[in-house]
Amino acid sequence: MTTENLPPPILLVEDNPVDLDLTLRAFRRKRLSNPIEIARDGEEALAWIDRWRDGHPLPAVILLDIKLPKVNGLEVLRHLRADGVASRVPVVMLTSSSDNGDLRAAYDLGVNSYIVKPVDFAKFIDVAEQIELYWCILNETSG
Amino acid sequence: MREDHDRNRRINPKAFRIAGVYALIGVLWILFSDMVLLQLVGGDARTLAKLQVFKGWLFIAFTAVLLYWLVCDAFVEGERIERQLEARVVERTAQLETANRELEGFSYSVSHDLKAPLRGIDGYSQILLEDYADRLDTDGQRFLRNIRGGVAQMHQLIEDMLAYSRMERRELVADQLELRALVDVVGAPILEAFRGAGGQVDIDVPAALRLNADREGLAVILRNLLENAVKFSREVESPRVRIDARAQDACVLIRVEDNGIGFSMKYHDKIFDIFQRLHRAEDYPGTGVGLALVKKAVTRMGGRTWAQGEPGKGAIFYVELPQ
Repeated sequence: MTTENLPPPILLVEDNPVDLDLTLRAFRRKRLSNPIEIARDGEEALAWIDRWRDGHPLPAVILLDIKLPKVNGLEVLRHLRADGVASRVPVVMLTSSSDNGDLRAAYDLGVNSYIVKPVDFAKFIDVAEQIELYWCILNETSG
Repeated sequence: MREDHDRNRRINPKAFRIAGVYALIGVLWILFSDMVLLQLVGGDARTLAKLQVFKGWLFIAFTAVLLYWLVCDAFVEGERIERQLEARVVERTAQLETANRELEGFSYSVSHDLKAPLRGIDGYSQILLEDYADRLDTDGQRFLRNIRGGVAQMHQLIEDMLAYSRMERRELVADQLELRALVDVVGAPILEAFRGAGGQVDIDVPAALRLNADREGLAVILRNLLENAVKFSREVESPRVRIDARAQDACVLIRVEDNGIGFSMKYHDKIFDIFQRLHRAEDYPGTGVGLALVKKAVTRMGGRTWAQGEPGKGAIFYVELPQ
């Protein structure tokens, strides 16, 4: 597979090492072939905006934890939505509860959907279908 | 309220002072003004009579000024106390708001920070069960399943505690609700499974029955009462759940009845207490929050709830809400 053939990456913004490990495992088990890029806090997530401006391929979707060190998920979302390039990328919030005031704030800021953690592949695919980006999520076996 | 009002009238010190000052001035005036007049005019009856009339008018004018001054003073004092009270109310409200915000932050931390390690325990034990099953004997697999059962229970407990604390502090929104429609929506998933398992369901809620209530609060009440009825009647022969409602005296009375295992009336108050359970977890799993949640919602919505039961003969839960 050449670089041009690579499916678009997925940016996973998650600080909790256990959640990160379990999410990556869930994706690996289903042989998701999209490369996963990782940011471990809000600042690292914002640093990606500059890389995309410099021509780094835009992710198919950003999975963004709400509670993050340094810059929280809502603040990251606000920056993403305000950026000319990054505002095109769908953002899915990762939360520990659907009954969460922050989730309402996230929808006000224009988030596309949310997943209640733990992130498993089935939930991820449901959300991908819901926000119509199923086409760019590729399994190795099917893709 | 009326009692307070009467007591104020009996012993109000301000009014007492005004009357006292007024009476004292009156007595002094009568005593001394007549003495002074006699000294000044002597025995001339006509002049004395004219001056007596003038004295009367003077007294009225003087006491009117005096009364005005005393009443003004009382009002100023009253306003000062009122302002103090208002300031105290504002201060207390601000304190309550701060406490509420802190509680909200606490709930948020509970939901996030307590669930995070649980996800790890659950996730990794699932991986062990799925990927390492061949290296675990039956006991090892059973232990892992028990670990996951404990995690699920803990997760439910956190969710229920959050639901309870949310019901305690959320702002209620009154809406004109059709009870039957809400029963159908909330009850569908619970009663469908019950019917599927051979249960009989009777719903007798008139379609026209409306009430002015908070939708989420009412949904919490209906969901928990129906789940309760289904849970405790599932095991009996030909299980039956009935929900009915009628309007009476500006209230709506909702009854949820089942023919399940029932309960002894000596626990009829306790069953609404949070974390109170009457059965072993392995017989009837639960966190003991459901009925407490019902009571919290009903109380906050200005209603009342009570229950009747008999061991082995089922239970009836009543909810009365203002219409």
